[in-house]
Amino acid sequence: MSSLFSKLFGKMGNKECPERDKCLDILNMVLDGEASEEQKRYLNLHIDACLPCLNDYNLEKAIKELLLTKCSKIDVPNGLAEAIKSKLSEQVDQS
Amino acid sequence: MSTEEENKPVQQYSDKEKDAVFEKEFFPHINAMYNFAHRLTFDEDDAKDLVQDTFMKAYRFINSFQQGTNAKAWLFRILKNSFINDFRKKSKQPAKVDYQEVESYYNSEKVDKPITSDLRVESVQHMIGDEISNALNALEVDFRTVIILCDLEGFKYDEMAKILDIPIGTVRSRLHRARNLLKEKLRDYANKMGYK
Repeated sequence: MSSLFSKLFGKMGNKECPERDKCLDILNMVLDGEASEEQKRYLNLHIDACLPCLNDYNLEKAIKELLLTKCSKIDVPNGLAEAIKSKLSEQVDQS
Repeated sequence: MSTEEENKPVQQYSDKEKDAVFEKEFFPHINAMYNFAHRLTFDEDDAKDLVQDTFMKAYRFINSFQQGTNAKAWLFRILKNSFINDFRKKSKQPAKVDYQEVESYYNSEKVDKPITSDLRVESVQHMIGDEISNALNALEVDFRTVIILCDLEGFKYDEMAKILDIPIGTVRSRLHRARNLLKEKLRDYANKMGYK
């Protein structure tokens, strides 16, 4: 049990997670909606006990949200859609 | 679209059907396409040209589009190829570095190491749009692209693999590196602003 525990959570209180690369990989997949149920369960259990990975998770999540909300969308310039449509209809006429 | 296989017809469309596909499946993505083009070129006129080229190619190669499949991914793939094949060549600012070179450089240990220790969630949450946008724009185009596709446009890894013509494993490792580089830039901003 203790070996399973340390395998899952690393040494409690340690500043470093011994499986940080693996955890980073999994937490990105979870945030990207690409993780399996098993990976989601692993991460949930893991970050309950591993502070460095909980921090990583929160940081990656914050950056992802920031990208989505703060990288403002630019409006399509007026007339672009119309210009493309008229070019397309020229092509139709030629074909 | 570059190889013959990609342009192989999978469906024949009448003129009327073509119109319907453009109206219902292609044009609704013009906004996302323009934004992608603008983040690739940083220029309004260039972005307009790129979007227009993409629609023209979509028209020429429409028979290789299977109705009911992901139109947005199909269009993004054409747009990205147009950018690489046509646009980058004639661009005022040609790509300064070869991607292979960049990838092998960033394959070095330094970038793969997690670098989050001195970037705090609170610092990131205090950032306004400019900082994150500037950090993203400062990334080399191939790294910028994976973040745009994944985080801004919400594409799945398998869709990104198709858009970029790379295996899913490469999508993941490129994304991983791109995110580390982005964090590095955000950390620089945070330090500059004295957040820490």
